[in-house]
Amino acid sequence: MSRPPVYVIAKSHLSAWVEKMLETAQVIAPRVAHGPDVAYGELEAPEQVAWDYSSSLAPLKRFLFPQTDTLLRWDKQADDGLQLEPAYDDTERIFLAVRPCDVAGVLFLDRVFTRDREDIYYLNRRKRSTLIALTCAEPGEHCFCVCAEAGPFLKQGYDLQLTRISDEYVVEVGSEKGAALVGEAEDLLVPAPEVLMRARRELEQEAKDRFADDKAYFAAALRQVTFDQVPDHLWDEMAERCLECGGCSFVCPTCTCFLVADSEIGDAGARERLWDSCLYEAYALEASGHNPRAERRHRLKARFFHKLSYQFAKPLEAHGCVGCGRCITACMGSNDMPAVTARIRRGAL
Amino acid sequence: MPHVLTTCPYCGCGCGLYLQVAGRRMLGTAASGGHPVARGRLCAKGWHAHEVSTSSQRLRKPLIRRGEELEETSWDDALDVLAGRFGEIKAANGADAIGVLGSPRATNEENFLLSKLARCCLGTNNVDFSARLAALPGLFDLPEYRRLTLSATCLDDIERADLIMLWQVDPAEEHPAAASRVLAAVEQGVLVIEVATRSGRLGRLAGIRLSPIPGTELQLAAGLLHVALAGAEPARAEGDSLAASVDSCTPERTEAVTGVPAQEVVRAGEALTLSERPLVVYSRGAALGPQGPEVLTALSAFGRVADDAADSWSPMLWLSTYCNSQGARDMGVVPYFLSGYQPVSDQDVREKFAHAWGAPPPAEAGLPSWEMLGKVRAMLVMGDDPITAFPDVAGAREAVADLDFLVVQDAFLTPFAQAAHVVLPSATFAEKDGTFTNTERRVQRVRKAVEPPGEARADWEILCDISRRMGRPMEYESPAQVMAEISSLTPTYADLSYQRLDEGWGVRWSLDEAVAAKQAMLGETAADDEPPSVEQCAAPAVDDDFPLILTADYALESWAADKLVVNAIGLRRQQGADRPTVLPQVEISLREAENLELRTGARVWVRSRSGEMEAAVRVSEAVRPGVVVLPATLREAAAAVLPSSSNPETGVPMLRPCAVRIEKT
Amino acid sequence: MENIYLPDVVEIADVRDETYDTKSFALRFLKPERWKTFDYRPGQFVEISVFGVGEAPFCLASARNGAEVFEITVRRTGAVTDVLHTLRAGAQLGVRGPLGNGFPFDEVKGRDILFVGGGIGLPPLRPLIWEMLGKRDEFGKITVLYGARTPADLVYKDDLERWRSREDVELMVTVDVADENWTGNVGVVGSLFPKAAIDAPATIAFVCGPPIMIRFVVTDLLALGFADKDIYTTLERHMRCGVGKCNHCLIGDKYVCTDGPVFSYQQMKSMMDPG
Repeated sequence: MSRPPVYVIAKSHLSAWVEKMLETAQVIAPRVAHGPDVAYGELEAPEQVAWDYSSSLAPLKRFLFPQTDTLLRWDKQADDGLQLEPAYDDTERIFLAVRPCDVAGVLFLDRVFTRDREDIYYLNRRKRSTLIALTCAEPGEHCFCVCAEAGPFLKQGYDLQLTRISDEYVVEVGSEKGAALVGEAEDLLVPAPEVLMRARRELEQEAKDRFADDKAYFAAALRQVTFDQVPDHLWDEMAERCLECGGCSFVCPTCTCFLVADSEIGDAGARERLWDSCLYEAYALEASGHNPRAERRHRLKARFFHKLSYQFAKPLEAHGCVGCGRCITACMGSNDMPAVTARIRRGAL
Repeated sequence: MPHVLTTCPYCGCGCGLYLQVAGRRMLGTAASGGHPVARGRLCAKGWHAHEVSTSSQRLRKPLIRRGEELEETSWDDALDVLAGRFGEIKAANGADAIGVLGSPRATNEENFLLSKLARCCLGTNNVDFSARLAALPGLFDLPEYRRLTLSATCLDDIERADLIMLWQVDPAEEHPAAASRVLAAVEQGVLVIEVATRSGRLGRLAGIRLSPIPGTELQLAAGLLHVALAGAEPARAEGDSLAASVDSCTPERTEAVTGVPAQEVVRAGEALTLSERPLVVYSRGAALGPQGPEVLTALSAFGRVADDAADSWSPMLWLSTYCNSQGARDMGVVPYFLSGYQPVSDQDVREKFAHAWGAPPPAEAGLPSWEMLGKVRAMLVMGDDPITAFPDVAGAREAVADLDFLVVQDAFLTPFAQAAHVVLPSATFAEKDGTFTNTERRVQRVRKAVEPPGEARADWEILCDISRRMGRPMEYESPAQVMAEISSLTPTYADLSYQRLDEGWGVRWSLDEAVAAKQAMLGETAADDEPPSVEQCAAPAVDDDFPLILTADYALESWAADKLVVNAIGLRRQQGADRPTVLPQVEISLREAENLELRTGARVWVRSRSGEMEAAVRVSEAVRPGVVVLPATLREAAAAVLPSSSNPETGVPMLRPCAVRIEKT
Repeated sequence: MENIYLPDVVEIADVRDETYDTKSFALRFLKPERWKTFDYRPGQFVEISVFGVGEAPFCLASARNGAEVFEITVRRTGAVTDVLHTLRAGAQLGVRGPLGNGFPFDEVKGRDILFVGGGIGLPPLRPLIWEMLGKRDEFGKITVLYGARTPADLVYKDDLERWRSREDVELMVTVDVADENWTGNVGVVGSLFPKAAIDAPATIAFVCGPPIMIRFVVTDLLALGFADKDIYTTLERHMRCGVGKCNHCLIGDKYVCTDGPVFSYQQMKSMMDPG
């Protein structure tokens, strides 16, 4: 890259910059949904960006790996035999002011959908996506990204990373895509002076200190889960408090289980994939009626094995948690990641 | 707007949720963090709420019966036929030959318009909805009964209680947002008392589990009251009549009748006395038992035992079954009331409505739903399904087949709709504006996220279409306008507008108004209520030939057959609705499994004095020894064994437990 | 980039009844050139689409031959198979594959080979048996032991006849419950071991069948002196995507669809799945 990688934009110029973005792509940013609820959503106008938000109700996987994703379509009436049409989403998207933990979530998904075989539906959307992170100076109510090494500031993986320093935003360039976006707004951004870069570094350290509350004891839990040393009664206790809502799977930026199902109306049909949860009783149910994970405690154990064990963390280069804290809110019982890892740490052999 | 805030269409908790839309396409559902009921959570059904909208099973065009088959037709044709037939039947047999059923899943606006259509356009008070059966006897509905199936409390009170008694209810299955709060209470060390023949999902967390013989629930309630009153200070004792009625219900006698150990009765009763903020959580499980009315009356007495608790503490939490069970009653889909529990028998009320509606409602109360079948010649059914609600399924089917003319409005071609002469395709909650009222009496917005598929229309639009064809047009530009009319005629919904509803998270209507209305109607104070007679229990007699008791459980697998589940592509698998079932399944306890040498999956005959059925067993530690549990959704298969009957006083149909034996096939 | 979820269209060339609830389907690609890249190994499987109903995994049940068709053997167990059983020659389906890891072949040359199949477990073994018989010199003694509940449940009656009539393979068949015409062995498939003269240290075993049968047979084989790593089987799990993305077929950290479906007993022992 020929340009210096750090810029600054005045807060008053943000709208103009977002206007430019809206001309080239769909822009998805935090928007007020209702009352205190903020969620990433498509922007119609720059004023809709909720720059000072805490966190989004739902993670970015909603856009890159939607809850309902059409894979292919067909029409049996076609004269020349059955024709299958894959359904590709070619929308260009700019994800603006998204949280670092959510970017870390996307980077995790990148590895999930590339590992072994490439998932064309996800990767097609992903390559048309630009990620502009907005760092966090303060933790939200449930945040524990520092424990998951997924925030509050990222070292890499973003296309651009914004940090607010009073009336300005420091803009760090992390990729060619990011550089191009900056290039298109030359009149709005200038290279950041050293004093501002220093302030940004200081802010990062202050933020990390504020986030340093140990909310999730990953190291101990990783070990116990990897070596199958968690006593059965702990899974039992957790099972008693699980209502199998699936919420943890649906709000988690790194959960990706899905069902594939066909539906038809007359001769026209489609195959879709739909989010699924490994906590559901029917998750592993076979057509014969045999269910290898019939017990809820087994499903809980399998879930946390998938999320935390070294066996998965190795190929995926990280364990399955970015510390966003959404599972704390979503769980109808008390089986969120910090609570579970704390229980494992306290109660393990 | 990519996120449309609306209200869940499943249970009576009424969680707020966001439907995620991209352009015209429905993509998914997200939980609302700020919503006071949901608080960022949804159950499995809520997380799949968008699926009913995109289901490939949706009705897209009106259908009309030609011979044996239902064929697609135009709206014009369907409405013409409908108007013509209703007109003929009314002319030949009178307006009361027509019955109208509303729905606990349709919006308030739709239920209100249905009531108006029935009363003004058709001229009958035969207006009801079949799930109201589950809220009976209750109170506001039948003059003879005074106990409220109305909640003064809100769901958050579960977390404020210092003692929770789950009475024949399994919130984990039926009202997960309530179950979530029970779990939180348990984490805080609150004692949970579970009263259930078949222990529910939360049973393992209950500190005291009381499992009465089916049919003896009333006697158990009386036994608990006996202990609670004995422990209460004289100032707290209700008054002679209550204490007197439970005087003989000593723990020992209670054990003899109910099978619950005397010391457990004492433990539970004493816990009740000592608590300052006890909460009795109950639902249709209590109401639909053979002595439902009496049980509900007794339950309310628990509240009065803890009367000197904080003045604002109300100990009764009624959980209404569906997303708008509460609202359907509030809107007067009831044969004796107009909206707001204003009686049709009251001339002032009739005049007020006549002034607004252009015609007075009839003065005589109409037929309740279970009496309509068999007495009316024609029915208009908006989204309801009496066959899945009534205890006597076969009888309901026969009566339906006997109708001269049946019109059903629904989003799906349910088994009930297949019997209709005209089927009108309607919109789901995701495709219309309106309001639902949850079990906390919270009136909340339902917001349109996408267009209905094909030619389907919102029920309120269909009702206006029908009214026009029948010559008494109801014209509204929007559901907001309907709400304005509701608000003007219904004291409990006064000052409700969409603007006001949009501001926060809905509005809870005041109970004081309702209580005042009730008192005015009955002319007596609430305190002056007769306690029930507890002498007779409803348990069947067992003997060596029929040593076990078969009972129907309304919570068990209650959603698996629901039309909003079986037609939802992902949810049907999650709820077990897509598993092939060859035989109906009954649950037995470990003790019976051992004695009869049965394992899960074994095929058996279940034989009672009146008949037999073949079934597969599932062995469960949750079932009381000596009891065989049948999911109530399978009661049609069990009709020979478990006949339905009626409550002798009210005529309300119900299923009585009966004595059976089990034999391997 | 390849679309791993996009099926090719095939047409049913032939349908054959195997038993009262099992049929074999011969499938042919609508685009014949696809056959050239459809290079599969015994033990691999395909995902078959009945469009509008869904997809289900089936092992490839025929050895590659010159006919440019491949076979699957389908027992009626659920929505997809129910509809599949109503279809006739000419009907169009989808296929994705070959998927999964396949049986070891080159690695076991020179060894004696023992096949143990139970009921619907013979289909995955059939292509391997034929391929090994096709390179007969490269393997030692080949024994096929096959058992089913009753004579009516035996599949591949033609193949059984052909194997029976060959000198270079020993076939033994047994049923749990005989009928009036049955003159062969009666008993579970493990009861054939004493009659089969197996030299355990020299032999590789391939075992396929219902989970409970596999458990008993593996116990018997270990007792005979087989090493963990010399016993292979195919595992089944609820599958959706078949390509290692949807996670439904996980056993511990192993995907049955990509790390399997063929696993050695040694691998199975270390696979951690609760329940």
